[in-house]
Amino acid sequence: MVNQEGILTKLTEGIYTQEDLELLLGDVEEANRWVYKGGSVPLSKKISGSVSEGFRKKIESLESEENLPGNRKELAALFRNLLENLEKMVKAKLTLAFAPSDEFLTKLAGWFEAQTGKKIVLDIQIDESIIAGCRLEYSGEYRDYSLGEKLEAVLDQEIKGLV
Amino acid sequence: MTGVVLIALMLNALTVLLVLYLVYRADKAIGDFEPYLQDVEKMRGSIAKRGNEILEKTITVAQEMIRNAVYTSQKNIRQSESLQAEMENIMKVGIQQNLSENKQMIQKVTQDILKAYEDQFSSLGKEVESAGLAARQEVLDATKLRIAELAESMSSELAQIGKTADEKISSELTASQEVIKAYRDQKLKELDSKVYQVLSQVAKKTIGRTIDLSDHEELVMQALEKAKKENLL
Repeated sequence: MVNQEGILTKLTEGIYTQEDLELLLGDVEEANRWVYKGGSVPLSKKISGSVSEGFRKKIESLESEENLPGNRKELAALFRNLLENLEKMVKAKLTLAFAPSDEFLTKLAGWFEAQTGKKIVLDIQIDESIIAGCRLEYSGEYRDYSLGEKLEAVLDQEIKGLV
Repeated sequence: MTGVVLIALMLNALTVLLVLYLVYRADKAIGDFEPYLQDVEKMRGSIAKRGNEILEKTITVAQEMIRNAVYTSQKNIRQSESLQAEMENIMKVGIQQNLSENKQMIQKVTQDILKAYEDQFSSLGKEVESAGLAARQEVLDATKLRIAELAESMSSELAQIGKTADEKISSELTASQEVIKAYRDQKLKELDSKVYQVLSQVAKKTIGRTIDLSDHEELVMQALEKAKKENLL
């Protein structure tokens, strides 16, 4: 019995940002195209060179663990289901004043998962004008926690006082 | 047996004789009707001949009537045309004559009217001349009086105009000063706004770069904690 939840968890390991998710979606679509091509060769071999190496290794690992369905029709259905679930993943838009490192992205993703109890895909935007802090859009809500916002408020107050 | 045959033969012979007799009688009867049939045939021929004669005569009479009718119609048309031309000629002559008479009458009436006016104007002319001299004097007197009045009025109006002009200039000056003040205030505001924008941009560019990466990350985490406290997550 194939554990779709487990497969999804495995495939989304290391997926933190919108860019990572788009890359994964492309890889899954490509893998799905190879299901009925290339004869009886293992899928991980057929997709070699067509997808990212990280994704190929995850597929290879799932094959060795016999976690992928042997039936081509079932495999195609699994990929279609995975695509639907990936597109439904919850996102948070985060505007930062600097380009975050991979470590910081991992920290952010972990923090979001810990707070919400689910994997959140971060849509990171860079805007130096916010100076520091961040702007956050999540679940239809928007907050500006940037220093730029505070600075503008202070300057505005000061200018009014001068006039 | 022979007797019977003889009787039968005799009966046959009698029958033949009877038939021959009947044929003879019928032929004679037909011969009796022959003269009547000839008379009937003659009468039929006579009636047919008479009918043809009547028909031919009728056709001849009808043709004659048609010819007469056509001739009469053509004659009537010719007479009508002739009558129309004659009437037109009479009308033309009458109209020309009438016009000529009217023209003469109008000329005469015009001449009479002109003569009557000439006579009247020659008598009026003298009256007008004398009346004109009196009126001229009156107009001269009235004009002198009016000029004197106007001179006085103009003098006071000119003084009023000068006063009004002073007031208007003063009012315009005040309005212009207000416009200049509003313009100056507007420009000052714009300048303030630009100064504010420049200051803001410079601050954003400089302050952001002076913060190191760990402080940036710390500030982000603090912001997220704040979002958590505000139940955004």
